[in-house]
Amino acid sequence: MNNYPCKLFDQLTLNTPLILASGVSGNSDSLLVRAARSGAAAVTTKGFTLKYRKGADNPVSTDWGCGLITNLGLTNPGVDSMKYMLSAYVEKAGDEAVPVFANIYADTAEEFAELTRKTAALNPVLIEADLPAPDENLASEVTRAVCENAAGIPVSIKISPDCCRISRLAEAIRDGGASAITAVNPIPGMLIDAYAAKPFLSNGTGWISGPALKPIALNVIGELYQAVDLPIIGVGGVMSGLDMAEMLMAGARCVGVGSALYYEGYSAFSRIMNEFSAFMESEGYRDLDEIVGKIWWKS
Amino acid sequence: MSEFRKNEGMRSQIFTVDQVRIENEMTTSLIMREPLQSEPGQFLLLWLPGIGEKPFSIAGIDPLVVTIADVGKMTHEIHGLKPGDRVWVRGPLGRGYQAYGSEALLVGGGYGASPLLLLAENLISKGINVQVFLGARNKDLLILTDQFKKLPLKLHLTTNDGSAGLQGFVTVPLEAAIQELPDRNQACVYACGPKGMLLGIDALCEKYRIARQLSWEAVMRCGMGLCGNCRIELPDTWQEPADQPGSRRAWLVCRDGPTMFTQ
Ligand SMILES: Cc1cc2nc3c(=O)[nH]c(=O)nc-3n(C[C@H](O)[C@H](O)[C@H](O)COP(=O)(O)OP(=O)(O)OC[C@H]3O[C@@H](n4cnc5c(N)ncnc54)[C@H](O)[C@@H]3O)c2cc1C
Ligand SMILES: Cc1cc2nc3c(=O)[nH]c(=O)nc-3n(C[C@H](O)[C@H](O)[C@H](O)COP(=O)(O)O)c2cc1C
Ligand code: FES
Repeated sequence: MNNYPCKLFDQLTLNTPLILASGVSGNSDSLLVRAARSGAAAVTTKGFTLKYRKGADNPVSTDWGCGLITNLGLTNPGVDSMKYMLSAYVEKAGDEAVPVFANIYADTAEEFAELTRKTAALNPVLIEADLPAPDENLASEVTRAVCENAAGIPVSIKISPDCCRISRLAEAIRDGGASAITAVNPIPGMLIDAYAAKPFLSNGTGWISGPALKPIALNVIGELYQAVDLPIIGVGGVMSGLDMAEMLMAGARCVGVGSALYYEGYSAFSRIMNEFSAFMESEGYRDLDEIVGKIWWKS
Repeated sequence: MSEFRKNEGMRSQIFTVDQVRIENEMTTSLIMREPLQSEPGQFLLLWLPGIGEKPFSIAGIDPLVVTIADVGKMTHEIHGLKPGDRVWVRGPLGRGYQAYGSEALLVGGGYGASPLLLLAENLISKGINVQVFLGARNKDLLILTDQFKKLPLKLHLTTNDGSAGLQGFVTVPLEAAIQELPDRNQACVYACGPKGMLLGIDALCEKYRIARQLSWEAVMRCGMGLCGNCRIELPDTWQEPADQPGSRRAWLVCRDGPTMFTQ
């Protein structure tokens, strides 16, 4: 079976274009190993912040019918613990280790600078910085702060879809020096229980991921692809091999999954990849270059 | 007329408390008005709006029963509920126990007895011979003994201080019962309780080469396999299934469990 190797940058080629997105099982070395052994071609850590964050009280998530809503409150032990997690991951995964993308989150560019220095010291293959708000000026400041402190490690900026000028945002990220863009983060939402007359999540609001996010993600990825010449890490509602093909055709170079681990568990990786290979073969595509951004090609 | 059905996913359903049964000074059972179809060993997430949402075993299905020990903030609120009060429930969740063989040995420690009542009824209805072993620190902490006594099964009680049944751990009468089994290949131990008890039972079953299904506990947050909070490492005696690589060291109680089957 062809795995469809995926060249993200000159210095990084993944075995397949299917990876683990940030936040789902990314807070434990053993779970990252499980994702790697289940077929993820790269694993992304949970978002790490400068300091420990306890996170939100239960309830933190549910499946509302067309997707998920979650708000864990960015629970993480703080960037200093990432060192132990990553070394334990490498040790436990042994031969089966796949590249690690380190996802980080801060509220300001200054905080991002310090956080990036600490993260770069751990030598991940990519630093994925989560943009706190989809604002062009902030994007520009954050991208510069992260890239200047990344010690040459490629940087991807992860964006939210609730932005009206995606192309401007993309240009700010490119001009700031990023090597890639990750799109998309989940979109803010709220679930109310009418009988309780209260929001369901303890924090009131949360983020919508899973199937409901897919068309939104495809649209953003398409705009990014047309606006800038940077590799796009596509994320949002991918549940099947066809979803993956659609996201690549919109312009993504590789595809991350998160919520699929709720719908199916870790076997999602091999199933999605098998379905994707079957699609590629039946349609006669030989490699990823033949489909990435295909819906935009003129001819 | 065609019927419109909206996909509600896993949204909480409302249950109304019908009766409150005091099991001991720290444990009560809520008996609801409505049923909840599920397999023995599965769990639910019970939400009290504005207070919290926590996992509990399903102790009865028709009507739904949950047996809850007062150990902290939310369980204390639950103990204040009265007939007519409403609770919100998501579930059933997780993998339950599977009927196996012809001889069943059910072991419960503390409130770990609660899922075993439903399991005992289920196994008996399938013609399986059931023995139940309940252990607690003292007599007042044993629960559901009257309920188990109503069923056609052999009940063994142990307490650490000897205030009821045998003095010692449940593993003592359990080992004796295992030695008397007519055919160990046709037997299965089902257990629910604290981690130390489960590890002891696992070692005992390994010694006598008996199948077992142990129900593990961990602090749950999402309850849907996303946050990783409930992950545990399983004992070395557990054979990792070929289609779940990496699961032995990162087993999700909410998704892969709560019950673990070792044959
Ligand atoms: C699969 C499963 C089945 C369970 N079945 C039962 C049952 O049938 N009856 C019963 O009384 N209890 C059961 N529990 C334990 C029950 O969930 C906890 O006692 C309850 O969450 C405590 O909530 P609290 O707010 O009162 O406690 P807190 O004040 O929050 O803490 C007290 C203690 O409760 C435990 N705990 C707290 N939060 C959680 C959590 N989110 N998940 C798990 N444990 C937690 C911790 O050990 C903690 O030290 C079960 C747990 C699991 C995982
Ligand atoms: C439980 C959960 C936690 C998440 N945590 C993070 C995070 O820490 N950092 C981040 O950049 N994205 C996080 N995400 C977003 C995902 O990486 C992804 O962008 C989003 O869920 C869309 O993909 P999906 O539909 O495949 O889940 C999280 C998503 C979920 C469901
Ligand atoms: S409670 Fe979140 S993964 Fe089990």
